[in-house]
Amino acid sequence: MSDVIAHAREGSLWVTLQIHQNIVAVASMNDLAGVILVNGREPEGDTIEKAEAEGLPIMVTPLPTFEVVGRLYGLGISGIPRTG
Amino acid sequence: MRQLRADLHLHTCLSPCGELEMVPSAIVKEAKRIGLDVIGVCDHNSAENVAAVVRAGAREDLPVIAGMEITSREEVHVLGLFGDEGQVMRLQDLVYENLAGENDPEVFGHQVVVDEFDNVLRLTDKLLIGATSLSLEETVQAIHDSGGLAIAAHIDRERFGLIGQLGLIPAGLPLDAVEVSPRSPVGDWDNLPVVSFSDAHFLDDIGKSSTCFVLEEGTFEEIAKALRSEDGRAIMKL
Repeated sequence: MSDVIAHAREGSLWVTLQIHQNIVAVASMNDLAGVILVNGREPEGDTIEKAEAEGLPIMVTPLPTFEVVGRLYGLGISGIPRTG
Repeated sequence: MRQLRADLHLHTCLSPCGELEMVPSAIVKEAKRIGLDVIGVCDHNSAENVAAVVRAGAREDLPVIAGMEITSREEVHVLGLFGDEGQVMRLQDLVYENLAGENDPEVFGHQVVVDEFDNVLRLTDKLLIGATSLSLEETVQAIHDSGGLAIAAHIDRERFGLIGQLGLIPAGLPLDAVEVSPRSPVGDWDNLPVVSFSDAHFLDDIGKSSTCFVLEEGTFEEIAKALRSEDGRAIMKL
């Protein structure tokens, strides 16, 4: 997640298999548009409560990361260019 | 009160990534040679060699703290340190229940259980390199429930460190300290005490990083007090 803090940009969509409540803190810090959890993984503990308080959409998909990212790319969405 | 130098995060030949040279007598001998006053054994997700090192240390008057390095399901490494081997062995039951898979020695390395005289007793076939299904919070809770101290391991490292994996220390997580790999000028982190140990997997790495405590003696109870800055016990600031 330190990589997300370092490289994600405001308005980014984050695709991850991490379900720890820290996804909300990390996403909020970087003003991300939302988080997609892959492989049908459900958010842990009070993650949903925290996400609601922060107004952060969390989406769950049964698809694996490869498939989700591939479909998003097919829709014309590209990743964040790495800087440094 | 005395100043005691401690390296409480050592692996043994039980850890798949630990060298076979990391047997109890050799670890104790090397620790004594370089002047450590206390050592701790923290193998990955197992404590099967703890008692052997404790006894090998007792032969040479070197205190050995029982421990384990647990991998949470977020792939965060957490050290548990304990006052006696029974506590860590009971925690091992819970860890094993939550640890899937079987080791492939060709891929990950051998997991050798030894006695206090370095004789090989058996190989463990649990996949010790793997992650447990315990969350970070459950891991810390389980360590505390077993009477131990919970220390987030090598938080300065990207791989398997709490900060690298989860970005920040979750609010309210009741850690007793955080560990950094090298000697660090950082006195505290999020108001948690900072310790530094070597995480040695080779004999040559023992004591490469250590923490100097002000204690009456090198016991778990004294170290616990030092982490809480109680009764004059303390971590020496570098």
